[in-house]
Amino acid sequence: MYQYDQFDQTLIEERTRQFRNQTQRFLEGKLASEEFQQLRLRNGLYVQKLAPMLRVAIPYGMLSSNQLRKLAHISRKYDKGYGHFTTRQNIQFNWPKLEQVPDILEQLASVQMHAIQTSGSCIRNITADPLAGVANDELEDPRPWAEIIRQWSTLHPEFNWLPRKFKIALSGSDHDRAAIKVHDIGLRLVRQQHRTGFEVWAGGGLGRTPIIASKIKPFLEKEHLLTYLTAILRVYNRLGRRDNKYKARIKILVKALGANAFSQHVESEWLTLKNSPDTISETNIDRFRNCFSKPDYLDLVDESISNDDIPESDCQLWLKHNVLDHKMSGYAIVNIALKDIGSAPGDISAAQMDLIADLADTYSSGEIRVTHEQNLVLADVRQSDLITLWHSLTTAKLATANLGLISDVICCPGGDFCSLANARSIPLAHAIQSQYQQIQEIVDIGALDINISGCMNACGHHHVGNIGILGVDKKGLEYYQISVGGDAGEQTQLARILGPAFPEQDITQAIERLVQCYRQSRLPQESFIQTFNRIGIEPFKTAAYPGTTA
Amino acid sequence: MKKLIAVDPSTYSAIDINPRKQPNERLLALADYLKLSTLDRARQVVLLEPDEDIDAVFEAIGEPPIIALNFPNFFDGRPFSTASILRQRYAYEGDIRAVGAVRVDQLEQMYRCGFSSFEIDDDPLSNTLVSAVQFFSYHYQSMISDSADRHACNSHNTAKPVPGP
Ligand code: SF4
Repeated sequence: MYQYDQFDQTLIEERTRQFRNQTQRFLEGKLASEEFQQLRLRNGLYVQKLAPMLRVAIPYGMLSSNQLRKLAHISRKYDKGYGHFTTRQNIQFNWPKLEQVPDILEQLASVQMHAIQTSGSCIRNITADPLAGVANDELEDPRPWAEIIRQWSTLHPEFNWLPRKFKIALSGSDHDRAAIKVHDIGLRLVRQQHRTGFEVWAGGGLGRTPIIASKIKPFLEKEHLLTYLTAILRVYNRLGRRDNKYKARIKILVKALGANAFSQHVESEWLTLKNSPDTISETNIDRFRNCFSKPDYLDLVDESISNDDIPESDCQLWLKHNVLDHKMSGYAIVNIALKDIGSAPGDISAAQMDLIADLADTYSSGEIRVTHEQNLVLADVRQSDLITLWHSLTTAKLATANLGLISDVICCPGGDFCSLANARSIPLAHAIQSQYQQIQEIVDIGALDINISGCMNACGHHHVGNIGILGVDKKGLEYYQISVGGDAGEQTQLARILGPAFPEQDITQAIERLVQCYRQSRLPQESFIQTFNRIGIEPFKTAAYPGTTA
Repeated sequence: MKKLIAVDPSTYSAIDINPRKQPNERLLALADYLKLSTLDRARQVVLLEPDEDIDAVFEAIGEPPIIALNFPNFFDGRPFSTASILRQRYAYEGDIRAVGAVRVDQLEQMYRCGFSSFEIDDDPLSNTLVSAVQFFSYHYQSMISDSADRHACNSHNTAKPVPGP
């Protein structure tokens, strides 16, 4: 993975010093609180319902085992012994003390980590395919490019005060595992006549007004990546709305101008920028590529694990659902689900962090990846180690075999932690997970994403859940609006609202009625979303509200 | 009270330019500025609001020695782009002055985008100006005011790796 040089290290240490000075001035009353608010947000620090919340960047979801151990240490020393992985491949600490945050940042800097631009109206942490470098459908590893963009966007002087937050996602495969079309900018590596370049999408996003991005450039030569991004950001920075924060995202600008006119604005801005000093030289591209060289894979052959070797049916299910094909023979990709009933989706204890760090060292390449489904990945496991690894994971309650299944609920922190929430989301995730515990039943239901957000901000990405649940406020009571038919994958599509919101106690029954509707209507081998796409929303509406005529 | 400060690009040192300010120098809104004769314009400073279209305006105002860009509040980032455009697209070499809600914590960003003078509150904190303008030793972007030896790409090729992470 990317390793800092003195230059990178100096920069984050200086940023930490700068932040310590800002915090001190605030605590001494020398910095107005509305100014400090903007400055601390640009360093990942929110003030939440119960305590400050610090969001730490995990660039494109890559962590080394030592970094994970450091996160465990921070959670023990400065927090309550756990952390929460978000849908944007970051980790959040919910209980730090404001005056200790500079110390936490110093600890992070010692392992080449930071919290720069994890919130505020600026370019946020860059996200990418969590299977980068190991997926067997990959055209090119997107991580060198993600790192190039991370550096370019870090403390960019022109784009630190944008109309609103700005998210960039990157994919190097045919199959989009980075949801690039629901980002402010989505980049997909493509090849044209043996040349690598990018397909550029802009103006996607979830939140209050979910919109799927428009393709604004079918092929951008790789060396021009940063100057072209500068052109997009500059158009947005100048023309994006600043009068209404709900209309300030780039998606509203792209929609208002039309994708063609928007891309013409960008092209004309780019004329002055193209070939300027931020053009990336071949030497630098090679340098970044070399930072992500492959681990030393052994020359192995694929193993077939015989049933006699599998200790119990849980392990079999885990092998089937949580283990994916690797592009090297003899290796496998292992997903660790952070979806154990009883803890919030994406939550991880310090002990679990330490254990996973050790397992990554023993069984994988010493690296861990964070997915936007709030799970973790060990990307380079030898197939012959799978069963031993499963035993270790089971003991730590980390072998839930439900990847991509109904109980693998994606969920924001919601009303239990977040001051913007209309409703709680974690208890709902638990209710759904408790309802679907019978593994035969879960497997029979098959692939089904449930996404829960506690408010319109859509941190739980409910618009792209096969079933999406949104917390709404009805005269001070928590209600939940259900939508169906969203898809974060290749066919990126937005879910459609079923009808009136449900009170909390009716949600699990409503979900069950939707599941029944699917099971009765499906053709052999058809997944929930495929059935939905074939039969449409009406049967689901009828099922969800029995006794009313749809 | 406000004071006006400029930064000497060769040394990064602050120069207090209040004394050099012309006695009748005023900031004039674009519409008023455009009404002046060429001779009178030379004695005034045009003040551009962030929503003005710099491409249309630049030609109309000629190439005055000073262009002031207003920050209506400290989180309005448009003047950063306007300054970059003036330097990059129009190769403007005059003084770009930051006025309005100018905060010490943003001076380095402003400077790197091409601002060359700053109207800031006259308080003790502002005396940290010099260190605020060159706080970071290196930058990842190649901005107009960055000297080449502080660019990411150039420095990366000579920097030593740090063990870890
Ligand atoms: S979706 Fe709303 S409630 Fe949930 S974390 Fe985001 S802002 Fe908070």
